[in-house]
Amino acid sequence: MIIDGIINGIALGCIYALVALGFVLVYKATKVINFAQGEIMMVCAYICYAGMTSFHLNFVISFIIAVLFGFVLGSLLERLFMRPLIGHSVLPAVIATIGIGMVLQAMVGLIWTFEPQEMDPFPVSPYHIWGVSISPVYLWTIIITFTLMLFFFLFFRYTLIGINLRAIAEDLIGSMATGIAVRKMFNFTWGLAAAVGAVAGILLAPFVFLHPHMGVVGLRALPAAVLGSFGSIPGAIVGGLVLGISETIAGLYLPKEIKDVFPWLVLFLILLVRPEGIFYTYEQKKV
Amino acid sequence: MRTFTIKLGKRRIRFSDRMIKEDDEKRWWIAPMILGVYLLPIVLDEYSIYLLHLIAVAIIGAVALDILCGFCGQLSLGHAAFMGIGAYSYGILHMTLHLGSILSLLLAGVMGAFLSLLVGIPSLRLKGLYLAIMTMGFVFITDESIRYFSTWTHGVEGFRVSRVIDLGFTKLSSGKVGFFYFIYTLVILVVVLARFLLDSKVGRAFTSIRDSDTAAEVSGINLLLYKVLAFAISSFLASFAGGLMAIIIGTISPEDFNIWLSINYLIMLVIGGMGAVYGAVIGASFIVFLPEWITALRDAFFPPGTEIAVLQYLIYGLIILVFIVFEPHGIYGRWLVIKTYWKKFPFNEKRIGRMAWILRWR
Repeated sequence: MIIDGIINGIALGCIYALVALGFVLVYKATKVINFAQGEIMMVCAYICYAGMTSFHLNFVISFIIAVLFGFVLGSLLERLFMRPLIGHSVLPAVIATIGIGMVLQAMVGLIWTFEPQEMDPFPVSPYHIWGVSISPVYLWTIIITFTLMLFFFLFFRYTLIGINLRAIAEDLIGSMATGIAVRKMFNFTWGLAAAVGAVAGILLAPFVFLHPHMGVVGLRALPAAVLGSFGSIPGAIVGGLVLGISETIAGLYLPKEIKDVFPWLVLFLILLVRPEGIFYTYEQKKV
Repeated sequence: MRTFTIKLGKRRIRFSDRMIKEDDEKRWWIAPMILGVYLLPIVLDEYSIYLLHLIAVAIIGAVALDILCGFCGQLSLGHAAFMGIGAYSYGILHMTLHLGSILSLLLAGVMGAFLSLLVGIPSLRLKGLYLAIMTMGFVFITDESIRYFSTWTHGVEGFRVSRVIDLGFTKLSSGKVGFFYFIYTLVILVVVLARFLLDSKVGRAFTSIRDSDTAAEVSGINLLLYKVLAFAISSFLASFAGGLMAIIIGTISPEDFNIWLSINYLIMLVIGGMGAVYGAVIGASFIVFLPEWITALRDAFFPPGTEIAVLQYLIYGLIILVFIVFEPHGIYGRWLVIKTYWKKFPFNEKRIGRMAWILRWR
């Protein structure tokens, strides 16, 4: 039972990690917490669902379409609503992301109504590995997440765009001076975060029903990002895994009411005990 | 150019209006405004008076959020939680423990302020948007707690609160003219106090934290103290407004205090204009009518059977986006620009330039 709980928790933690990664990517570059991340995730899951049901496409093809759609959606939102706010304080930008989330929910509600839909593209019969039975959803979630993590590691390490993004996160004005196209990079970051959100949304859909309010589950990944010192990519992954495993194990022993708000209680504890998070790096700021 | 003097110890320092003043605020219109509000019940029917009750609660709540978000620059999504705490505290104190109405209202506010310390101190120690995340979590925690402690709060079936308030010398029931005068006296008190707060030492500390927390810290402002103070004042007023809301709507349930309400209050600030008390008042009086307009819009343009929630999300979201991108200081900010434009009509380029610069988001 406890092993099942741990595997379940790792799968949930992988999804938290992906959503937290979306938050962290945007936060690192633009210092904005994107409260619409959950909704972007939800929209992309719906796109995948539409590809499978309305257009009768293969799951893999609709998965890829949804991820590409996520990328386009993210960069479009940045171009329309975030770019006019570059250079001003972050507060209006954060409020604008809340507005974006509401509009996206309304769009999905207009097209697919507020009825929950079921989407489970993975096979049902469990795999047996070393005497432990794993549901295919969990296995594929873990595999896809870790592949993506490897991709991000290589991306930020070796590609020019990845290095530019790291430079922007380090020092915005310095990277402007060295000729990095900061606006294009912001745009790319939003697209990347939305694409990660798309993957997270499609993986999350089998766990919960597809519903316009699904984005609230995405907000539960915020404590994971805080646990990993908001702004650190390995931190987001570790934070997500820790949160997912501890939430699932807590769900085995504690009443349901506590499980529902577990990430927020964890957040409270983190802020109380170690507010910098695990992967903290010291920063100085000039006035 | 007008000049004015400030006494600093024995010295008098002269300032010109270029240096400090951001907007000239004439106060002569306040007395007719108050008189006008007090004369309203004579011409209005019962339902409009009920709507005005809701506006009053919204104004107190919006001013409360403005003290935190507009003055101090800390984003909070937990306004609904504090209103809920206020409403349920009032309900439990007044209905279950049979305390007096005014005492219960004040104690509800104190309860909110106390819980705000619990939430605020851990999350305001850090710079950044941790308060927004933590308060959002606090909304969910409060919601679950209300459902969990159903022996006290009656859970999802709703808590019936008496709609009569006992002032000692007279009893007022909500929805009636007497209660209207009572609640608008409170509103005027809150608005005036918030306006005074903005110009006081504490208020100036808040605004300097908003403009640059590092600079504020360097010039000797205790960041944690002032941020927590702003949050506590805001939560006190929010819980107080929650208590009033319980009296007005009569039956409270956890669904009344979900994250949607927090966003609603944020929209009021965005529409009216953040950082100005009057902006919050304008936004609050605007938003109460919005659901009815949305219903009318649905009946006119959308196929029957369209869910009202969809349109609410769409229109509220679009309002946020349009105001943030095109009119970041809201209606009140635009009013200030227009006023300055006409003040020195042919020779106004320089002033307009300065106003436009000041009114940008900092």
